[in-house]
Amino acid sequence: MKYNMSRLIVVGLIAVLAGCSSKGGTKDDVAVEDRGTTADGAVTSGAYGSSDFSSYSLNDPNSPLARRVIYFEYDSAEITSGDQDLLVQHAGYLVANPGQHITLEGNTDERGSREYNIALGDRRGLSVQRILELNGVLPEQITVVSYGEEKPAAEGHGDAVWRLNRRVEIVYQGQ
Amino acid sequence: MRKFGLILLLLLAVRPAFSALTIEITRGVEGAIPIAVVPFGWSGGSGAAPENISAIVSADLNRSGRFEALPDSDLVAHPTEGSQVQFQNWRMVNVDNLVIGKISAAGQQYSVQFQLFDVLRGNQVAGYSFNVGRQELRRVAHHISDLIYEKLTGERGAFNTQIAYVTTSGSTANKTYTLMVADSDGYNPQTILTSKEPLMSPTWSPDAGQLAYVSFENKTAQIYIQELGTGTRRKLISFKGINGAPSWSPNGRSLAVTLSRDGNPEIYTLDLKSNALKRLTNSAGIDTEPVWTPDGNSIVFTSDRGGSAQLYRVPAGGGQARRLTFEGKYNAGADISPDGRKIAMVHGAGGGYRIAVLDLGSGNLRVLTDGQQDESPSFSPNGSMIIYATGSGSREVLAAVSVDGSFRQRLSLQAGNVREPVWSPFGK
Amino acid sequence: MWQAVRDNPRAVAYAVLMHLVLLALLVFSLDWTPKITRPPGIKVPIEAELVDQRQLQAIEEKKLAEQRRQEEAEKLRVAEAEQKRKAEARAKAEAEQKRKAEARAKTEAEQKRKADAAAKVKAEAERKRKAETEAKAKAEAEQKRKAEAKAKAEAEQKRKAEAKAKAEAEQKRKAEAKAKAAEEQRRREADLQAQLKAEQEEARARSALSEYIPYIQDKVQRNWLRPAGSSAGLSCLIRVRLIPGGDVVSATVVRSSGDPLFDRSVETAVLKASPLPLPTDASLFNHFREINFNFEPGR
Repeated sequence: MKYNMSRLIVVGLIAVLAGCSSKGGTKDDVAVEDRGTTADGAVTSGAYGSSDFSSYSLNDPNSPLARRVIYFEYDSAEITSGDQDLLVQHAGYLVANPGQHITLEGNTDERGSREYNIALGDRRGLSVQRILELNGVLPEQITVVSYGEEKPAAEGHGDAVWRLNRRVEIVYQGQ
Repeated sequence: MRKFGLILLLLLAVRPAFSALTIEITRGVEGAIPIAVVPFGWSGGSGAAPENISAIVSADLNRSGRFEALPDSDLVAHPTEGSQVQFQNWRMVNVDNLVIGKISAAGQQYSVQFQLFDVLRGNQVAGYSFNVGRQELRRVAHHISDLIYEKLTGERGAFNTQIAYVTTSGSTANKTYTLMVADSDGYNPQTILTSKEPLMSPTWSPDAGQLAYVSFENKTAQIYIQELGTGTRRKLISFKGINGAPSWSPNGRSLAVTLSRDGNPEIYTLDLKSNALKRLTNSAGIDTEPVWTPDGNSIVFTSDRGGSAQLYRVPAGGGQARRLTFEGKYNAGADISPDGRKIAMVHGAGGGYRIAVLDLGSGNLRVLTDGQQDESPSFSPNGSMIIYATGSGSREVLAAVSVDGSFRQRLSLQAGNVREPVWSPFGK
Repeated sequence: MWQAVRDNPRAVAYAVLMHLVLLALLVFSLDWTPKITRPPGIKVPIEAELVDQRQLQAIEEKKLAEQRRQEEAEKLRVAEAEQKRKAEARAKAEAEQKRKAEARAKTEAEQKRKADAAAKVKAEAERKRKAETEAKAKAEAEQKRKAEAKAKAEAEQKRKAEAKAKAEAEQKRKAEAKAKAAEEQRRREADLQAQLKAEQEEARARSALSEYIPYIQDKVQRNWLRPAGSSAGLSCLIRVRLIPGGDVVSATVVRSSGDPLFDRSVETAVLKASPLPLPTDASLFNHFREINFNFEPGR
């Protein structure tokens, strides 16, 4: 009787543990949510409300594709829903232009040690990559590079500056 | 019985009139040893000596935090040899030690001699002379500082060493990155490499003859090795993803590095001869910034496997990683003292990031600096000081702090932003 | 068995008696084994008839047997007669022995009587002699006693004289002792005075010490530049000699801390602290002439 009970507990524990995802370092896993997309991949927002991505121009300052920076919270690689929408836009263009290559440049603010920030920027770049790939972009089209804190967008200290530096930049090759 | 008692009483009553007095001294003052370094005599032609040896020595001794050199204006006399020294004069200005010397030139060679005196006891502690060329005069001065330091503190001096660091200059969009090597006092800076793309994480080979570093010159992080004497360099590691944080093993045969080729940043060791790679960590999070312990048996690194950036230690041959830091929400960028007993790190607690030292024996963590963005700590090869990067206004500069935190000094090197200092080993 | 004994006491007694008699016979018979002696020439006349050889033989055998029987009987008779004779002889011998013994006893008794009488006479003579000697001895003893008493009396007198002399000497000694004691007393008082003085001096010194020790401590501490690093557990004892005015003329490490730099810093401290602050009263200097400093930061 006692033996069966402990067995039950062990099995129960294993079941519980199996249900939990592994801890630490998978903030990016939790962050990804597939929101705002319909089955055919069409999007809803923006002036260019059509699914004809070929008409999107990379050089048009009014095109949604003009926005090429994703921002992050401190020590985080989570992407906001608004940014996810943006990424869907970019994904659409890239899917329509499979020959187009992009580099995702991950960055951090200046706080903390440099190599750790390289890894953090890398994590942010991979976060963006995942969403793009989920939306059909081919892996060959994407290169992720992390500059950590080495290439700040804004010099100086303080929250206002730091916020601008915690980012991933989408760099279209050949542009 | 009563008689006995009486006798006893009598004996007790007869005490010696004057017993030796013992006074307890339970504290002193902590501070720098007061020392006077008198400008060296110069006999070698008109004009000043090519190098101001006494000034170099004073600056060295001051920077170590262990000495306080009397300002030149307070010197009571200017002897250049022993017979001219009047100790009572020096006692009056409260210095414990006196350094005097002479330089003379003979053609291209310079003869330098110095003497170190104990002012209180009125005797000579050390005296040496050297014969060097002009280019070596600063080195001789540093050597004299080492000798004085050793005689008076019992520790090896680290004044005759070098530091490597990265400077940046230019605007945000048009930056120039330069990897430099200078004397440990910042003099004689030499450019090792210039690039328009970031340079990071220099590490010295144990013989102080080579540097490995990260360069983004090919638009991604790659690790290079460069020989300092010849300038020859070669690309060592360039896998997909991150190639970073190189750390040279104490025996010179391997590099520990961070690679994300397997998906996320992990620690690897690379055998420099065979190019064999060995992976040491296997966690879903970030594992980076490896640094070898001086005995070569373990590697300390930064990992966020526990939810926040903390320091861990893993055997160099692979195995279970153990967490080392438990205070503060952020501990990264470790450097280990030459005796293997202390770890300096970037420590985040409260508002800013400071340099802290963990004593592995006692588990005690002590914060040494008070800047907001202090980073890149590096031990001197005698373990007495830590050099690090800090902010000064809008600039990034280097500073040095003594390991017990008692003395701190900013190093004014040059214009531009200076970061990532790495102190060379004693080397050759 | 004992019940049978009690029930038939007479029968048992007879039985026992018979056994005793038999036993006696056994014990006292000299020789029970029959001696075979053929009496010479005794022949049994044979009837002259012609008979059968076998018959003859039988008759011969019969004769022999008869002969033998008779011999046996004779032997027996002889043995018995012998025994009887022996017994009679024995009895006789015993009676003789008895007579002899009685005669002996008689003579012995007679002798004894004689001896006793002689002894009596002897004893009487002895008694007389003894009495004489005793009386003599007594008289001698009496004389001796008298002489001893005399000697005793003389000795007593001597003793008395000696005692007197002793007493006189004693008195003399006492007087001297008294004088000595008085002297002692004077000396003690002088000592006490000196002691009091010393104690007063001590007290003064103590108050000076308690006042000046903190000054000295402070000056040394201010001048002690502790070596960098931990001094936990280190302690160094240094002996310092001063001259009036407080100048340090010698500083010697008495117990090293084991760390030469620590020891050196201690030595430097006391040298730098010279001259040490001392009380102005020069008479108290001896209390400060030599000072031990125990440097023990404990941290």
